[in-house]
Amino acid sequence: MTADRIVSILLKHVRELLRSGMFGNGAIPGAAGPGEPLGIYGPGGKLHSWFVPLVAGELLAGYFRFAPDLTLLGYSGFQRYEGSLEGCPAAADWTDKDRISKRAAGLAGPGIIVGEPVLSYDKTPSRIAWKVTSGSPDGTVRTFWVAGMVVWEDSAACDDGSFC
Amino acid sequence: MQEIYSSARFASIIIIYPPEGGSRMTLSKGQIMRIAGMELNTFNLAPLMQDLLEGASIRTAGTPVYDIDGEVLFHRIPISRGSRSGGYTDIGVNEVLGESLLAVCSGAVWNEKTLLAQAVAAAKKKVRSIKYDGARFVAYSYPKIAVQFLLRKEEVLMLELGSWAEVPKAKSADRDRFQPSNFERWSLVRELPDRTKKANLQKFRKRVALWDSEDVKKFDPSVINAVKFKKVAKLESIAVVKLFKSRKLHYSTRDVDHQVCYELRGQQTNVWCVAASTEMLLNFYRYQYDQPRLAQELGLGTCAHPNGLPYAQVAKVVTVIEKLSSNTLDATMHTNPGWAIFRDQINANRPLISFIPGHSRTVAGYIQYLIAPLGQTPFKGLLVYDPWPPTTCAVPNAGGVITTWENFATQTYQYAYSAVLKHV
Repeated sequence: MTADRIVSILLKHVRELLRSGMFGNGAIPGAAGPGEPLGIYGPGGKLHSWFVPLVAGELLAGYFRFAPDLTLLGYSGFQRYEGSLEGCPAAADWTDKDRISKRAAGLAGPGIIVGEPVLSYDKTPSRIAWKVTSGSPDGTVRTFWVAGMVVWEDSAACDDGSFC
Repeated sequence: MQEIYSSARFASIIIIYPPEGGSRMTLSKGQIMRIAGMELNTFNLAPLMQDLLEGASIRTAGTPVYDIDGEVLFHRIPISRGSRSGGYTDIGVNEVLGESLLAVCSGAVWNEKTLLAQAVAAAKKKVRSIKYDGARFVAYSYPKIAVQFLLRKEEVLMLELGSWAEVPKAKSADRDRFQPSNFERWSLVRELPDRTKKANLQKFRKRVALWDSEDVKKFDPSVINAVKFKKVAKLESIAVVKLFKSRKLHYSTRDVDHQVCYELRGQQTNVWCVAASTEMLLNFYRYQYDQPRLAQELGLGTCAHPNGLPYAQVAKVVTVIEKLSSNTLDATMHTNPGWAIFRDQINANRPLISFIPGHSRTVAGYIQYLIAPLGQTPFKGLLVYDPWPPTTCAVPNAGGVITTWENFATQTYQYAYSAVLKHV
């Protein structure tokens, strides 16, 4: 199946799910609709799942996730209350690669060039975040994670043997 | 009336017994087929279900499936798509079920004769000299089905459908209703409370009467056809099929009195999912501790130097919940929790902390579809209050998402924690 066809199916599916009223945290004020579906990539660059943002104006009301075979994995909403978008993040914080790169570069420090962000997850698929790597002339590779407005560098604080 | 099948593949004659004493309401084969057709035509109009059944047809009244106590519970009816199988539907014929449409699925082709032949072969493998004069399909642990072999109406052997494992004899039912042990046979009719049976009886009769009403009497429902069905059926007069059951946490178990009562907390560092989850659970019981304090109790470091909860320390969650509630809460850790743990705790109005590989969240509700479109199993989902994405200690009122609904079939559940308020 071509990428265009997958995107078209995902968008159709999301619209149907929204119409059904079974997903989402109740009423969303204003016009809300699906944004461009993005692939979530796991280790080795393998497609793990699809992220379909639900955008209301400038804000991100939530996102749908689908498995590569397009099985619905769930809808995650940022809304704290039905009918209110208060507390929802800016959609660009999650979808604008330039903004995400700048956020990672801010933590990396002056003069460090960061690469293209990749939507991924930190350790476990529930922990969705943008992965940004940087290289340096001495060959050191650093990995940064950006989730909305929060950015952190890969560390041993959450190793493979713990719940984070 | 008895139906007699014989097959070259096995010498014995299989007799499908008629209902013993029958259900309280007797439905003819024609009525059962009509109910099936009408229900599937209605189901075909439900949101997200459109066209899944379009063009399929009902050609037989299917196979009666009995309760352990001998009453017919439902008929499993094959759905045809031309010469191919289009799955099957379970149509309730016993009023205690309250509904006529129980399931729609095509996970397996329903071929009664083939299954009986397989059952006979399996029975002869277990007991070479087995003697029987009849066999029937029995919901030995609804909706799990077995084939029961009978001799002069007494059971000689019961084999679970598909696995062909022998279903043990009934044990003394010294337990709560609907809490059978693994592989236990039990009667749905017997375990349903009398009040529910009474209510279901009215509901069932009303539903069946609807399909004989003037509005739809002339409609031939044997073929599923949305356009024709819409023309004859006054849809507003047709009760909506109950597609799912669901519950979210409220202030108490009296759902009608209160709104949903649960609050999301974001994890204040990228590794404090357990602290945030514990905070959500304690907050539900009105214990207000901030996340850095909870992190300290759980051994998760500080805002400046945080760490995750090591796998070896999962029992700490129980200790901390009990300590911080001055032992008012009696916490339990469930290892590899199944669906029933989540459903039952939510029904009892208790949130759960849910550990999945590498992460922790809380569960505040569930949804369980009762019927499924063709080719799928009924959807089960959890309402997950996930502390991810993180926020910071400086902005504690942000972070986290509410997931509606996390597909239960696609996640690995390692541990769950719930807490019960101790009463005097």
